[in-house]
Formats: sequence, structure tokens, C-alpha cells
Amino acid sequence: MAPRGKNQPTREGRNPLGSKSSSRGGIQKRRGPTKTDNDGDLDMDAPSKRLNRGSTNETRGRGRPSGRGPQPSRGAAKVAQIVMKQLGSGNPSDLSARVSRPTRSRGGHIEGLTWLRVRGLKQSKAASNPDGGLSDLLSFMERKASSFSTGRRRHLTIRKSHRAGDYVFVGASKEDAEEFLKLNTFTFAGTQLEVVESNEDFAPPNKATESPETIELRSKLQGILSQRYIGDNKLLKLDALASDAELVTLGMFENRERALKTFKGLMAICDGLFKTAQEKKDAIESISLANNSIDDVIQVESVASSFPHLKNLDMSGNQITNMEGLKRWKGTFKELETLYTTGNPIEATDANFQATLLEWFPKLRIINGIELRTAQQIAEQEAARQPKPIPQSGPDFRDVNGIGEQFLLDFFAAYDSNREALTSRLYDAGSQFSLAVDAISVRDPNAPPPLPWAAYIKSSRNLQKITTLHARSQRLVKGANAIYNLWKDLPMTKHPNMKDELSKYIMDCHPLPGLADPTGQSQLGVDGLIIAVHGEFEEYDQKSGLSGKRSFSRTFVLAPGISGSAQIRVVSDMLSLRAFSPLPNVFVAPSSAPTDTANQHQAMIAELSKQTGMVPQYSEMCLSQVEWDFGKALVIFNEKKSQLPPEAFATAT
Amino acid sequence: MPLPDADTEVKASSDAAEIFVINYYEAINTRAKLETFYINSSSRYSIPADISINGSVVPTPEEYSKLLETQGENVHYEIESFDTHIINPSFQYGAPETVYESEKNEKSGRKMSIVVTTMGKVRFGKGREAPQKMFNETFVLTPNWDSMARNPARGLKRWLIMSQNFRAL
Repeated sequence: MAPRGKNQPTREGRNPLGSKSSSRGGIQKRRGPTKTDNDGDLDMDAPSKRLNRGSTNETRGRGRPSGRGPQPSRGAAKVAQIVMKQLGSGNPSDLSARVSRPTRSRGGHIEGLTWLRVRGLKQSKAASNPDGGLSDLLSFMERKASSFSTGRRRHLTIRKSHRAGDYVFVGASKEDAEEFLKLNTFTFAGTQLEVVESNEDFAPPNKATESPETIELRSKLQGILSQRYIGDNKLLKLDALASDAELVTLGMFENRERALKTFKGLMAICDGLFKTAQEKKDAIESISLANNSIDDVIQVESVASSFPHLKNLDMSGNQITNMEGLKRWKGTFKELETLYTTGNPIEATDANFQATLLEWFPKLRIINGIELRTAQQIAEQEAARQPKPIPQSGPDFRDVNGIGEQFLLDFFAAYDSNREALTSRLYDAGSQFSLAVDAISVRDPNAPPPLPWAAYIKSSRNLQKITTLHARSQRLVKGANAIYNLWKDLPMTKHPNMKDELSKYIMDCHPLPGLADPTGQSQLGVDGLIIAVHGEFEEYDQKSGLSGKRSFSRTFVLAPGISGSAQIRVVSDMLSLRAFSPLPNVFVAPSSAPTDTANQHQAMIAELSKQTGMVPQYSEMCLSQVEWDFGKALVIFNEKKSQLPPEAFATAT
Repeated sequence: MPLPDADTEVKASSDAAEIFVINYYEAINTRAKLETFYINSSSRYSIPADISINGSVVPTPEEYSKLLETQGENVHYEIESFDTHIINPSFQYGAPETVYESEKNEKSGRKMSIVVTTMGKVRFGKGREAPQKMFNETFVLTPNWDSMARNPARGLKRWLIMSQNFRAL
């Protein structure tokens, strides 16, 4: 999460959050990395020798560009820097994670290891090494202590090490540990080490291991935050931070990097103040970041992760020049309604920036005090974005000589009353039948529980489930007699009368060329019809005594009858069964407008419920009273809020 | 006319249906081009496929793709059931005068036309709360004569849609 500023051509050229780094640059340069302690133990820029040795559970320290010297180490500013590093490393939730996570990590307690607590690494110049200086500290300790016990010329080893807060814990054999203890008060990379035996066994990194300086700075920052929080307005004022006397005194904005870390640290502290996300959401609805010389929101990116539900944001008086500078916030702040951008160069450079902002932040309505769209418009746009089904039309019934129509009128009545006669009349030796059960279909939640599938499942040829060739063959029924033999064991049915209750059916019919000609006269085959019909039937299962409704779809391929017998014959009859669910009525004039309106109304009800906490029922009542004018609904709600009964509001979950 | 035997018929038809169902709905869900699934893509067929969607005739597969797109983002088709019957074990329509290895292809079921029915759900939007609708669809698949050549072009489908009927339920 290195600030992108590092890649910018001139590091000192820009001053995010108003840091005053340029004045310090020269001094820093002169302090070269070669200025180490007398032993020459410190090699700031060399690749770490021990990086992979030992078993540290260390998060790696942040790298610095080479050639850059250590930070000036004077007083409060120095401490602040160290603390900020700790607070601001990684994501802002680190802080809470650090407090709550018991890191009695890898390996746990190793038999016979004695643990020492070493303090000073954080304060040392080595702290700016790629791994935070840990490897250098460990080699320093091993070499120093080993050289001490020259009499025996024994190499002392640190077996385990881990960093916790301001301390490094090292584990070694009891014998070695005694030698290491002698390093207490030794100077390492410009800092005096404190090496004491750790009676905490493995101190988990928690507040207890924070140095007094950390705790003090934390409370100072908390104090600053609380002064900048205006509870009545649920507003956190983080504007003009660089001119905050207290922050300046603490040295928090001395240079760019410090300023960035300070900000991250502030966010981390903010996060730490709230037990739950809801608490945070309730307490802070608005944040001002005005007048902070921000040219890219990457510098304050953590606001988005810390306050994802923010409603109002003031970015005025910053240095945003184009949308690129806001890009890191794209897709965040999903609840943001109001934004101020006045005084940013982007106002002059990008004529479209407001439109783009409205695209990026779905709930954004007001920019610089001007309402660009209403909540209702947003709700409508949202409804329009919802996927919608392909519209339904009435039957696509391209019949030939009324054959298809006659067949359907005839078929279901006969199937309900006399299946044997039906098979002998319209089916022949070549006819095929199979049924397929979909036992996991969508069903009407208000309908009674679906009927069991026992009567059908033995014959179901749902090829999704029936995968062996044998079963697939067995369940394909061929010939009028075999078909009747299956049908007579299926439950009795009663289909709605197609003439009286047409809307309970959907049927499509088209001509189909290329059917087999059993007479063999036509090489290219004969023309027939293919019919798909969907509907419902009432069922009575003689065996179980159960009755109820099912939904079905049935596909017929009809061919001309063989001369002498009936006019047509059924080539293929495929029955698909599913739990009962009423069909859409496709016979009403196809009008997409009412459904669109209904969708919009639903979206508005949902939005009003969300904004007011009312249950959907009351939101609907409220909206219908004002003829679905969302803005008016809100006004009415605010007027009558106090008169509403408690049941109008959803109970908090 | 060496027609396929009963087992070959069942195997060839259900394999054809299964491959088709998997690929076709995958193509719909990924918004891939649909043309190659239809007889419109083969010069052997002089007629276009008969495509009927929710009661309206759609002239071309391209038009159907457009119609599918109007549904918006994150529309997902999921098959729960399918079945197939053979309509004509020796389909002739559009066949070239000499079909490559005609007898062998006929015996193995490559020349049949089949009817495939599917049933499943269309999910509109992401997540568990997204609305779902049942649908039922019927296809008539006929041989892709172009795939019955000595060296057929790679990726040619063996069967093509001649007739399609979709209904949301």
C-alpha cells in the first residue's frame, strides 16, 4: 500500500495534506546510509542477509527508496513517526486486528527456549531497512554476543524471534540467552538497546507491549479527533489538517510521507473507536476533507474503506485536477448523496466531471449544493438497470387447416377421460412417449405444498438425471400399446377446459418439414406440426389417495395420418412435469408499461423503507398517497413521523 | 437403408441432445454468438430456422442474441431437465446428393433429426434473492451436412437448430 506518490517525478514537488517536506530534504540527503555505528553493523540498503532466516512472524517493514537517509530523529516528531508507522502499516483495521488477534503464532512454545525482550529496534536507524531492521538486529546480537564469549569461541544462536509492538522477542537456549542478556545497553544503529528476560513467555502483541510513547500519542490523536467531531451534525471535520497547531507540534505533517501516515493513523484510530460498523455508520455521516491539498484521493484512500456508508463528503479546496485523481474511490461510497468539489482545478479542466461522478457514485444527488437528480430518479434508474425478462406475447399458433387447434381441444379431454381410446386413435407403433420430472422447479410460495413425485419418478426420463444407456432406453416408451400401459398406471388427471379457461394454457404451434414418411413415398419426408403447450392439471393418485395440482409442458410432433386411419398421428409426445405454479396470462394485450411501472414502484418502496426505516407496507401507503412522488413521500414522512404507530417501523435486527 | 438399431438411436440421440443443451445454454449465459447453432449457418439449408420466443417470431439468431441482451446484465439460464426423441432416423432435407460415408453415418445415427425439450430456470440478477422464472424450450435439431465431410472444418456442430420454441412460464 505504498503511496503512489513515490512514483511521481518529484517527490518534494507536491505537498499532500500540506506537508512541508522540501525544507528538510537537504539535511536528509547529507545523512548518508554509511553513517552507522562504530561496529559498522548497519547496512541500510544492502539486501537483508537474514530475511528468510529464523521464524519471524513479522510483517515486513516498508521499504524506502535507496539513497534516502534516516528521518530526523528529534523529540516528539520522531516518536510520532514511529507510532504512525505502527498505526498506519497495512490497512486501517490493522489496529483492531492487532489488539484482538492473539498471535501466539508459529510453533508456539518451544521446549527449553528462554525468551528475551529487546527494545530499541523501532527507534534505531535500522528501522527503515526493508524488513524493519529485524535481520540486522538479530545478526548484530548474535555476532556481538558470540564475540563476547571468545574464550570458548562458540557461536550463539537466536532460534526464534518475533516482533510485537515496539519490542522484539528473541528465543534462545538458556545458555545463549544469558550471553545475549549482556547486550543490554549496547548501541545498535544509533540506539541503546534494552535487553531483558521476558517473563511474559510469548507476549502477544497487544496494547500492553506498546510503549508509553505510543499510548500517549494515540490519546493525543484521539483528542484531536474528538475536537474535530461535531456530534450534532454527525460530522467529522478533517479539513486543513496541516494547519492544525497540535498536529504541527507533534510533527505529523513534516513531510509528505509522514502526512500520509498521519492520515492513515487517524483513520485507524477512528476505526478503533467504534465497536461495530453500524455504530460507526450511525455516528459519522459526513466528513470534510476540505483544504488539504489533496491531488489524488489515493492520499486519503482509507476514508472509503473506513467509512463506506458515508453520506456527505466535502472535498472542496483541494488540488484534484482530473477524474484520474478520484479514480481510487470509484465503486466506493455506495451511499454518498452529497459531494462538494468547489475550489478544485477539475472544475475548470473537466466539463463532464459531474456526470462522471453521478455514474461512479450510485446514490449521489447533490454536487456543490445543486441537486442534479432526485432520489426518485435514482430509484427509477436503478429499476431500469434491473434485468427484465423478454416480454410475453399471446400464442404463436401457426396452424395448418385448424389441425393443431382441433388436436389440442381433443387431446386433453380424451387424456382425462379415456386414455386407451386416445392411444389407439392417434398413436401408432412408431409413436414415442416419455415424461421428465423437474422436482426442483420454482413454485408458487402461496400454493399448498407440492405433490410427491412417487407416481412419476419411476418413469421419468429427465436425461439430466437418467444417465445410463439402459435406463434411457427403458424409459423411452414406443408404440401405442406400450404408451397406454404406462398411462394407465399414471395418476388420473383433469385438465382445465381449453375453451372455457384458455388463459390457463399457453400454446405455440409451427409447421415442421422433414418428418419420416412411413409409406416411403416421399424421400424428403413429409410436413407436420410441432406444438408446445404449457398448463396445469388437477391430479388424483388412485394409489396414494392424494390429489392436487401440477404444472406441465407438453411437446407434440404431429405427422399426417397413414391413409385409412386418422387424419394425424403423434410421432412424439414429451411430457415435462413440475410443481404447480400459475402461468403468466399471455392473452392480455402485451403491455410492458404496467410491469415497468410496477417495478419502479417496488424500487421506490424499497428505497423509502431503507431511508425511513418504515416497513414496506407503510412505505407503499405513503407513496401511493402522494401519487408516487418520492420527494413528496419523504416530506410527508418527516411531517407525520411522530404520529406513526410503532408497527410502521421495521424492528431493528 | 441401414437405419440405426434401437440402442444406437437412444445413445446417439441422447448424446446429441446432451452436447447441444450444455453448449447452447453456456453460449446464452456467456453471450457468445449463437449463429453456429442454427441451420442459418449452413448453405445446405435453404430455409432459416423457425425461432419463436415467448410467442414472437424472431427472424434470425442475431436478432435473438439482441433480444437476450435487452434483458440486461446477469441473466442466467439453468437447465434442470431435458429429454429427446428421434423425429426422423434418416433425415433427408438439405442433404447433398452424395453424403460422405452415407451408410456408415446413417447407421451411427448421424443423419437423424431429433426433438429436444428442456426445462429450467432463468435467474434475473445475482445472488439468492434474485427473481427466478421457469422456462420450457423445444428444439428440433437436424444434421449439419457440412460436418459429414472427409475433412470437416474444425468446430462444426453435428446438429443444427431448425426449429426453436421458448416460453417463460
